[in-house]
Amino acid sequence: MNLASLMSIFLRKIHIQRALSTLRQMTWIAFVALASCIPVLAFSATSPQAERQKTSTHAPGAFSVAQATSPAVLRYRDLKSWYGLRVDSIRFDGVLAGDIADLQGKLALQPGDKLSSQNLKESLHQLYATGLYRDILARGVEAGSGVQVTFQGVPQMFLRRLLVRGMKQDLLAAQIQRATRLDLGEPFTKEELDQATANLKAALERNGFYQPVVKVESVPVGAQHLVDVIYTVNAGKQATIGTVTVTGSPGMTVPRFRKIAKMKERSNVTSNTVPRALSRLRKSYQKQDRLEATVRADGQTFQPAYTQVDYGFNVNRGPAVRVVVDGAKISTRDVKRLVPVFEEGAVDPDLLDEGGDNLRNHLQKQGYFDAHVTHTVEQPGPDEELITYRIERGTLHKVAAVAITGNRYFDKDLIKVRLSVEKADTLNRHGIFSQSLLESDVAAITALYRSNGFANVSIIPVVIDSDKAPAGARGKLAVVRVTYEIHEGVQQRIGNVQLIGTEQLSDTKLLAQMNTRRGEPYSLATLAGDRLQLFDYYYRHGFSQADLTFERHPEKDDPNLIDIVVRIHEGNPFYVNRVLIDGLHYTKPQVVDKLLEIHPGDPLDRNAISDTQRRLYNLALFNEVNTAIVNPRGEQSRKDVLLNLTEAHRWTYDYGFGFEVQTGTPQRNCPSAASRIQLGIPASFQCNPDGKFGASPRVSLDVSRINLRGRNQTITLQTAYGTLEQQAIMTFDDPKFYGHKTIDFSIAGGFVSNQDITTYQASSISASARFTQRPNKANTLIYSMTYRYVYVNPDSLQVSAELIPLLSQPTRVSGPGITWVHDTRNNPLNATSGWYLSAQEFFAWEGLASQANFNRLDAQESNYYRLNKHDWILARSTRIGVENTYGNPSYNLIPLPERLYAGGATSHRGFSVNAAGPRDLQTGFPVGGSGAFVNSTELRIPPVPLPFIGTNLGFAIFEDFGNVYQNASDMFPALFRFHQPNIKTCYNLVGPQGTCNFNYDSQAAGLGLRYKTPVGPIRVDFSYNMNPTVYPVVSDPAYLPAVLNYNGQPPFVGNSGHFNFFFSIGQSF
Amino acid sequence: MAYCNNPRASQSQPISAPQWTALLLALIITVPFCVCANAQHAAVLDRVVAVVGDQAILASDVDEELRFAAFQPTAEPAADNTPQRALDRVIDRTLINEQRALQPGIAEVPQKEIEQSVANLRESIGTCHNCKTDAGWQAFLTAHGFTQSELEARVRERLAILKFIDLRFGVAARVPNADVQKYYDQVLKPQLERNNAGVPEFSAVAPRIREILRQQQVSAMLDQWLTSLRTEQHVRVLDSAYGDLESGQ
Repeated sequence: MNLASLMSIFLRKIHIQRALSTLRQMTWIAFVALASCIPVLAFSATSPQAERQKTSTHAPGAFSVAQATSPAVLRYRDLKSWYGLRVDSIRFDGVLAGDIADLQGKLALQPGDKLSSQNLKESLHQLYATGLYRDILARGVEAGSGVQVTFQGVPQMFLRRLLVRGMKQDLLAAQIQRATRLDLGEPFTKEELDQATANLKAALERNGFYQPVVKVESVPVGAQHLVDVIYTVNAGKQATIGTVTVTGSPGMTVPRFRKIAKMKERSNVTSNTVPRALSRLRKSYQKQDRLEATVRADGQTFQPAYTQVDYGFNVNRGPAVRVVVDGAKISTRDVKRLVPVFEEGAVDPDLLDEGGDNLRNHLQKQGYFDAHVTHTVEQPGPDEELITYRIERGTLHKVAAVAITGNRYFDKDLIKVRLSVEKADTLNRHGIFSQSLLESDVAAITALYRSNGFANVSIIPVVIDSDKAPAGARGKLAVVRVTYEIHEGVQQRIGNVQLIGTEQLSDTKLLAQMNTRRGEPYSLATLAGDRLQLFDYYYRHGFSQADLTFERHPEKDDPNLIDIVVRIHEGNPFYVNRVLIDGLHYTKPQVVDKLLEIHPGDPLDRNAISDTQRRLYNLALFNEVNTAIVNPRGEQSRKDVLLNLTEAHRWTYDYGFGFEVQTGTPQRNCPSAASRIQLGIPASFQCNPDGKFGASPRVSLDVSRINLRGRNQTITLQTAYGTLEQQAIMTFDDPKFYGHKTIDFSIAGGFVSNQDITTYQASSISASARFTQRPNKANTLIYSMTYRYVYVNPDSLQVSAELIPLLSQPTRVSGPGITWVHDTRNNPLNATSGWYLSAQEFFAWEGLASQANFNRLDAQESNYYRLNKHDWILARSTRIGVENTYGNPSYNLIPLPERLYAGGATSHRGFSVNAAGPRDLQTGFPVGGSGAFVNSTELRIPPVPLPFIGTNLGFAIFEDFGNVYQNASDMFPALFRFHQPNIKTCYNLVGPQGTCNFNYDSQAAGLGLRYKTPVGPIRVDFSYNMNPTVYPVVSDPAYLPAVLNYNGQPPFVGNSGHFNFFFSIGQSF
Repeated sequence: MAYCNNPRASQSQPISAPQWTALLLALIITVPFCVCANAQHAAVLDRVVAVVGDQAILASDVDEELRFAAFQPTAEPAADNTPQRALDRVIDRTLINEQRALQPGIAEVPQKEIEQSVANLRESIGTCHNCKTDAGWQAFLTAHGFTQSELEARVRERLAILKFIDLRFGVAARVPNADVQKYYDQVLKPQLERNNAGVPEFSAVAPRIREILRQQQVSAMLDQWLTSLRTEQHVRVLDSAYGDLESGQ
């Protein structure tokens, strides 16, 4: 600092403070002078702690101080005397030495070096490139023959957190927060903050808040070069829509204009007000064939006195455009779809040409492969424009054959899936062909071969058009045969693979990442994959600046051997300095810590950061998980990683409504025979053993409390009330039990009442504890212990309580269970490939207070196969269920609700819900069994284009067989029995009963519709049971005269019915 | 200077009389000493004056640009060779070099071409009267702070930039025949007639007119491109001595 600058400070202080007349103030000046003139002393006296404090005071507002006092830099002519001096020492001021510790040994200028323009310049560039400095200068102090160099800088601040407070609407708060365009971890300046505030206010204005009070605070975070920005917004009153002025040629009144634009006076202004108005007006003009109409928002004026916004619009509606197609019959709907002037709302030569191409393609798909389309534009009147497409359809064609010859390396199926030209078939009567499609096919096959080393491949398309063949007679339907003649040539192979430029990672490990190896076929796809693998390997090791270039060099001796040279620029590795977690209020830090994939000292791997983010989101404890690297573009080798979390509301309420429609829906309020007599219900009251066609509605309400005790634990009350089901279950979930990543624990208990069978209504009060283990992605094991008190509502029992007295008694069932699920399906909602297996074993044992001793094994196995390129899916599923009693004979009865059942939309579709198998021989109601077998085979046909529906409706053809059997041992003998044994005994209504047998294999076939939705297909299935179950319905001697059955009707022979219908969501299996 | 704004320095605290005396004495003794010492030995050697994207531009870069102005065939008036204009040129060059780096595959400038260009420069510099001799040329270089290799590096960069601009915009520049004819009829011919100079045949000057118009188009496109690059790259000027702060203008 020279005298001039010293005096400058002196005088400025006098001017500013205007009170330096006292001796005390003079003393302060003396102190300043002393400090200023001995800079080395001043810097040396700055302790690291003081440096931290000084750094932390550089809030955005402080930057201007450094700029206003920019000291003059010596020019070249003055610097010449400095160059060549020995550098005695180098100091750093402004940024903590620790932050640039790794750079100090690598700096171009080192103590002992001779000062030069180059090493000084290089050092400044190196320091600035760290990203830690906002501004930096090099100061020199001559001391004898040496020089002391100080790099003095203003530290760069980085954004740690951005908060918007005061907004009542969460969505709007998020919207205006995004509008600031401030990114976490990025360098942060006062200018950017000003711009961000302006952006925020603009966003508020767009939403009608024209007079907001916005307060912004930028709070430095300790000595970490980080700043939190907190906006406190009082949005004020939301403006309403005022007047609307329309200029130009709108062709309508202003009230009509406002109505179409949905700009009702005094309705609130939102960000969507103008875009919605423009969109609706343009659509309105398009409907009037004003395809060239232009509608422009022509300014908006805020009226503070009324808190309203006045809008102006300018409209030029343009001429009415008519599009006429001449020479072919094409529906108006198709014309609007194919000619883009309607969609774009503009008429220009490109769009008209595109319309012509689309019409030609449309005709070609209908078999008019030689279709020719031209267009003209005329102006019949001043306000009218006529576009005429003239079509010459040519002869109707059919693609009779598409053949591929000469292929040796690739099989035909692999080539065929790349072809656009298609042979005619049942669904596509004419096939698809055009010259452009033919050319694109040739290009696709050529690209396939070339990317696999066949550089000299040649594809010759041979088209034989019977219509054009000299000898062929010109018929109504011409036939096209296409052959792609492939001349593969010699395949190139990989020669040497060489890596150049590797310094910090070993060649061996890098080469191990590559699939390109000597002698392998040369493949562009493999090379592209290797490139990604190498990039990934470098990134995982913190080399985020790594760059790779692949070069191919044919060998001189054998040009079909290609040497691969990979030139690598590794750059410097980056590491994690600190992981700064913010936003935890209720959640315990260890919950987050356990999921971190990044730790201090680890390579700075963006994939690991993304994985951490994904894992934290998966917790479902946070609404937002934002991650950022502080100083992302700086060369600073150790970087902080920000994890900003926004906790979700801890209480959540879910409610829903659903229904199921099907035949065979169990009837509610169907009293037992005894109850009917006691209640005096007429005997004519009918309850069908097979239920009736109907819907079963259901409402549900779930209340959850997440983040229990600050941990990833949840307690949930699930309630449901429906015609067939009522439940209230409390569940406690503790995923990742005691830190075990693959084990979840849960306890559940509550009340469930079901009527999913026509025979009775069952209820249970249960409690269970279960561990769920996921050893890998495909497999899940569930270990459970269940206590269940099951009982049948005697008023609902449709069979004689005396007949099966013990089966319907309240029973306590308890024991351990284990379930294995193996699932490799590609999409559980609508699988097209993969395997699904579920095997459940339950062991009820008196030793665990059970009143029934039995074990139940219930397994289901499903497979899915894609049949061909049309995406036809063959799906099959088999279920086997077996129950056996054991031990103490007094515990040998399995209660009715615990027996095996089958039938329904997700089971055997030849029966209504749980209606398969043995029946009560008096009433005909199903009573389940101890063995179950159901096999389903389904051919799922992908959606085909249909009018109105588009490509959303697919079909299925299915066949189900199997049944429920009295005993497990009856199952396999019955599988090959297609009729009920001794079926005549089932017709015996008056003689001795009890000999009607239900152990046989029931077959059903059907047709299904599948309507594609985001939550899985909506499914409608119609089935025809080829051999429904026949059963006798005779009298109940306990309550009714012998001549009447339990319904008060004469005895009859019932059967479960041939036709069934099901409606539900999701595939059947 | 952070210590000048040290809040502790302005705190009001009672100071005793002996303290007053000691402080005054220190002031009287120290100020003349340190003023002299600073005037001779302390200086700012270099600093960042602007930032283009993430790339720093130093005061020494601007100083070099100012000195390089001497190596022009026609010397710029000294009043026009200001730090602000020099910084402007450095910023433009930095922006173009960044784009050049993104477009690999452009052939290097051959050494022969560089040497030829330097030789031409040596002959055409108006302000250097002894540049035809090696000693005179060397003295001229030294006087402006360049070595031969440094000058060659600058010339190499300049030629590479010209080549890049020509490749990028030269192809796009199209001069229709009508424009050439219009320039001849409406600009060149009236101008020569006003000066009573002979008017050459159209065919004789048409190639030259076409080149002029092409260069004008290239310049216009380059200006437009640089303007958009400045916006995209966020150019910041940190020192008011070199232009408006932050704007980069």
